[in-house]
Parts: sequence; C-alpha cells; structure tokens
Amino acid sequence: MIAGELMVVALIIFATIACAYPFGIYMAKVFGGEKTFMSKVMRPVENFFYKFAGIKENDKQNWKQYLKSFVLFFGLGFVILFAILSVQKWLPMNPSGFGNIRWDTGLNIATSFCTNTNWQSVSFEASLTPFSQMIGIAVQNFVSAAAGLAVGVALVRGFARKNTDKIGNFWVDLTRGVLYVLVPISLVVAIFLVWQGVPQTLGNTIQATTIQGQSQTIITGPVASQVSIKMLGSNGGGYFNANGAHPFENPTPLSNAIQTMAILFIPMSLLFTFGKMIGDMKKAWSLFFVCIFLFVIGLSITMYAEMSPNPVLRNAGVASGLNMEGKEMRFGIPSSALWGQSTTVVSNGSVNGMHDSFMPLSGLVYIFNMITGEVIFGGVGVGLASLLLYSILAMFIAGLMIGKTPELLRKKLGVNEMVWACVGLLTPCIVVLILTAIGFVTPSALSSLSAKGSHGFSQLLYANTSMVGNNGSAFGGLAANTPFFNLTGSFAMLFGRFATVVSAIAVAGSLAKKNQSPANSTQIPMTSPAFVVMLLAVIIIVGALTFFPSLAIGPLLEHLKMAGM
Amino acid sequence: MELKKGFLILLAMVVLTGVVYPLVVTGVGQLFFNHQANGSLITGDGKIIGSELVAQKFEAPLYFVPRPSAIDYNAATSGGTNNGPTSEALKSEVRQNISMAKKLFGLKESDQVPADMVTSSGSGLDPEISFDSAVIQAKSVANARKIAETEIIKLVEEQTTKDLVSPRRVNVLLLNLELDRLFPKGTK
Repeated sequence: MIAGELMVVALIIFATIACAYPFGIYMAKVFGGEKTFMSKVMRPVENFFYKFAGIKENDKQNWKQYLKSFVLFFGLGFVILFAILSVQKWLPMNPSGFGNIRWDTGLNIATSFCTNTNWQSVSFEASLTPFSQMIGIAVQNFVSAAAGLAVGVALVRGFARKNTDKIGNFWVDLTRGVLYVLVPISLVVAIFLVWQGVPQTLGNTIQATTIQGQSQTIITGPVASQVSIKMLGSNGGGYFNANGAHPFENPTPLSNAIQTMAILFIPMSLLFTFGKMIGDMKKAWSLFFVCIFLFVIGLSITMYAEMSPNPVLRNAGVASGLNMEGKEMRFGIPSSALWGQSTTVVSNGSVNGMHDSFMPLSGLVYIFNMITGEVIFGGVGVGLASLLLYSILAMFIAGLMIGKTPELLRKKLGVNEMVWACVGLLTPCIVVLILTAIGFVTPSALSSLSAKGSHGFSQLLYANTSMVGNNGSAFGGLAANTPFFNLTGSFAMLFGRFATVVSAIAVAGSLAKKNQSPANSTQIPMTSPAFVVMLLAVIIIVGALTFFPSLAIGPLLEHLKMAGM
Repeated sequence: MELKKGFLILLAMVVLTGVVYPLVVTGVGQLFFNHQANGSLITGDGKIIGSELVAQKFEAPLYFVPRPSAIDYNAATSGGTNNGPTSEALKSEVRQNISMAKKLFGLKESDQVPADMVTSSGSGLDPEISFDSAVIQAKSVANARKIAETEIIKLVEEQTTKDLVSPRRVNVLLLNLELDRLFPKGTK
C-alpha cells in the first residue's frame, strides 16, 4: 500500500503542474482584459459590478492610488467583519444560539481573515454562527485572496511596462480575480467535494442516537462552499476546528488529493501568468525550478521524518512505531506529509493532521517554509510578489559581486527597489524574532504553551512565523485565545501583510516608470543557471541565517533529543 | 468617492460570494448529492443513528471500537491531543492506550498493537481504523457474540477498502452495523 500512497504523492504534484500551466496563461489573459472562454458568462456580471460601484474600467492608477484603494478595501472589509462578529448573536441563522465574539478575539479574527492569514484562535464550529461563516468569513476568503492576486499582477506589470506611472486599476483587478479566477474554480471544487461527502446545508445541527444509545450532536452547514475557497485562496481557515483533518471537511483520499492540488494550484499557475505577461515562458520556468527545488527538498525531509518510527511509540510496543498521533487513517503518512509541506509553502495554513504532533524535523521544515517569507510558490499573488522581491535582492547582490549595475528583466535596479525589497523581506523576519522574544519573557504567554522545553519554544516560534507569514496554521497545543496572543497576533498579521503589499506596489510603480535596457544588456539573464543559483542561495541564506539560532533551540534540539531516545 | 466605490464593490462581492455562491452549491449539492450534502447520515428504525463519516463511541467487546479520541467522540467539536512527538504526555497517552487495548481485546502482553489504534486521531472523529486494528479486535468480538473468529475476520475483509493507493482500512460504524445485521445476538 505504501508504494501506492507514494505514487499518489507524485501524481498529485505532476497533475497540479499540468493544470497550472494552462491556467496561468488563462489568468494572464484575464488580467490583461482579453477575451477568454469565461467571457460569455462573466463579462455581463463584470460590467454590472463596474456600473453598480461606479468603477471606470479604463481609469488606470499610479502606485499610490493603487495602494490607497487596496488599503481602503482592506479597512472596509475589516470593519464589516468585526461588526458582524460583535453582534452575531442578534443576526439571523444562529441555530446553536452562539453569543457575540469577545472584542479581542473579534479583532484577531477580522485581522486574520482580511489579511488572508486565517489564523483561528477559537474553534469556529463552536463559536461562529453559519451567518458569520457565510457572510463574514467566506466573503473575505474570496476578496482577500483576490486583493493578493491584484498585488502580484501589479508587480509583474511594473516589470512588463516601461515609461509609465500606471500599474493598473485595483478595483478592476480585484473584480476580475473574483469573477474569472476564484468563483469558477471554487464552484467546481465545492461540488466535487459535496460528491465526496462534504456537507452543504444552510446550517443544521443534527441530534443522533448512536447504536449504543448515546446522543451525538452532528454539525453541518455551508461547509463545501467554504472549504473549496479556503484551499484555493491560500486562506486555510476551516469550518471546523480540526480543519482538513475533520471527516466532514475532507472525507476521502480523493477529496484530500483534490484539496492538496487546490492549495498549490493558483500560486503555481501565477508563475506562468508572470511568464506570459512578460512574454517569455522560459523565465517562468526558472522561477518554477527554484520553487519546485525547495519544495521537493522540504518534502523529502518531512516525508523521511514522518515515515521513520517515533522512538516514543516504538519503545512502548507499537507495531511499526509510525507516528499516527494527530493523523487520520484515510490519509496515511505520505499524504499527510505532502499536505503539511504544501500548506506551509503556500501560506495556506489549513492542516489535515495536527502539526504539533508531527515529528520534530517536519516542524523544522514547516517553520523554514514560512520564515523564508512564503515564497516557495507562496500565497496567492503575494507569493509571486515576494519571489520577485527576492529576485531583486539576489540580482543586487550579484551586481555587487561582479561590479556592475544590477538589472532584472531589463530594468535597472536602483536604491528605491532595494530599500523596498529589504522592507518587504527583512522586516517581517525581525518582527517574528522580536515577538518570539517578547512571548518568551511574558508569563501570560508562556502559560499558553502546552509543552515545555524545546517543543514549547517551537510552539511559540511557529505561531509567530505563521502569523507574520500570513499562513495561519498552528501548533495547536498553543492556547491562543488570550488577549496577549490575540493582540500581538493581530499586529503580526497586519505587519506581515502590509510589508509585502506596500513594498510590492511601490516597486511596481518605480519599475514601471523606468525604460527597458537594450535586450542584450542584461548581465545575468533570468534564464541562466547563475540566476537560479543566486536566487536559491539568497532565499536559503535569509531564512537560515536569520533563524538558525531559533530553529536550533526549537525543532532541531527536539530532533536530537528524539534521536537519543 | 473611492470609499463609495470600495463599499459598493464589497457589497456586490458579499452578494455574489456570500449569498449566491453558497446557495448555488447548496442547491446543486442537495439536488444531486442529497445524502452527502446532508452529512452522510445513517438511519435505522426511522431514527438517525449517526453519520458514516463521523466516529461514534463504541464499547468493546460486543462492538469494534474506533481510534482514541481527544474529544471523546463529541462531534459538536473536533481536534487532536496536540501532544508533541517527544512529550511525556504522548508517552503516557500511548502506554495507557496500549494497556487498555490489550485488556479490551484480550491480547497477550508480548503482542504488538497497530499505531493507529493507540494514537489519537487529528479530528478526534476519525471514522476508520486500519485493517490490522480490526483484526486484533476480531477475537474478542467473536467471543462476545459467540461465533467463530473466522466469520468475523471474513466480515472485516469484506468491509476493508480494496484500492491500492490509500491505507487499507475499515469504517467502524459500517462494520458494526453489518455485525448487528449478520449476527444480531449481541444487540441489546
């Protein structure tokens, strides 16, 4: 069976790549305003949206206007979501009679879902009404992802255009992202999931009497529609506390395969969108190679760790000693490891097993994936943006090494680009370290940890990297619904989101203004092995150097302790 | 002006993604996949027994038991133990589950127990156990129902998944329902 399960892992990866390529090209057409096969259905809806909201499709914005619209839209979404949560008790669709959400928790949830993080400090099935989930949460799953998409596309335009200060129209990009990208695939995936067994009702609590006469409460609701978008939009926040491990969110190996593909799908496609938009697919393949290389290495490590016996279990007399704690039987070990790897590289944050109970080396890989700034494919739109910021950093360093003005994609890189690349990539790292340090000396924070020693440190480090990286997954042993974590967490998520977004849009504006250098002038073309090696090195060095001490006293130490058992 | 645009576009999004989209999925789901859309419920004598996807509590030895649950199979919530891989909590949890399993299933002290049977699932509601975990329970179930162990093993094999690309496993609730149907002696 294990051979078959490993084959499935390979198959999922190849199938995702095969679907991502054409879809990436499709997205390039969508954001370029070209006609696609969806136009017949969606163009009238799109026109209606523009007319309804008073948006002029051809009104292009400069980077400051674009950013202003982004911030405004974020603010509105935040206020409305916070308001819904604060008064949900009196709103319709409250079959379980849930109360209003406490203010610090509401602040955290609203920040979390509007920043595309989906960190959840409370269990949603036990505290949010179906109304809050549908009108509040699910809507942000769409629009925060579409806003991220817009940012990624805007940055690519900065590279593709010359001598202009216009980088597109935020409202148009947002609308197209929702109408042509997110809604159609979510619909298909959601219906597929219902077929597989994911419930889809308008909120029913069912009382069952079990075979042995006990009563059992079974919760259904608009689950499938929410699960599909949370996977596709790099959101990750589940309808249920156990997230993708819950048999209602993820009932079969097939639903698991589709959801794993959905995690990687749009971020991977965006690399090809980039290729199409700059008119050179080979460059997309360079970036793709960097991502898949880091992905496969991480996957191999976590796969190796999870398929090795856990000495704790082996010594206790468990056959095989395999670490099934926190994992589900229908997924087995390889597919659980693949999901963990996918969800942390893509800033998705959903889980199909409890990461807190995974092997220490897996924890190490997952934290590494998040601290590199979510660039291994990365979050929807913002992942591509961060990867391009890394490319700027890599080419700047290469330029210093060979003593020439650095260039990327025929654009000369100046002080402005460098400053913003550093802001976008390095400041989040600093915030992670500072918040972890603060947590480590705050008694109320320490009392939230369920583990002591190196594993407790990992819980804290994981939480902060997850929130700053806008990932949202957690070492679940951390009791996060405290004012301390709700408030520092809100700050972390806001900072992580806006560091990337502001930098990306500012760089887009600055690059669009520049002229392109002559076609043959680039010292290190993006398609050369030198570029690939430089980019890989910079990503690994930033992650490893900044965080090596933290990783050493957290997961690495725990791994060594385990090896000695 | 921008504020108005933002508000109106958000309103349109709320209607599309918060109302129309889930309603379309609900409509299609209810129409074409009614059983699954409503939670894959199982009824017996007109009453809802449970969902085939959600584990429920069973007591050995008359029935097969599911994997340990951090939430005591309370489906109003969900979750795992979150015990770390090297923690004392995991050690004591596993030791306790092993001795419990050996006692319940009448195993020898030297017998090894399958990993899934002594570790808590991620959701706390895992409806399935591995084939091996069903086999080690067969003897005690057979004794309690006063039938041959081979009959029980045969039933387990029938209920086991047959594909080669996912773990070999058995749905506990469906297995127990078959058990009651074929060997009704045990039902109270």
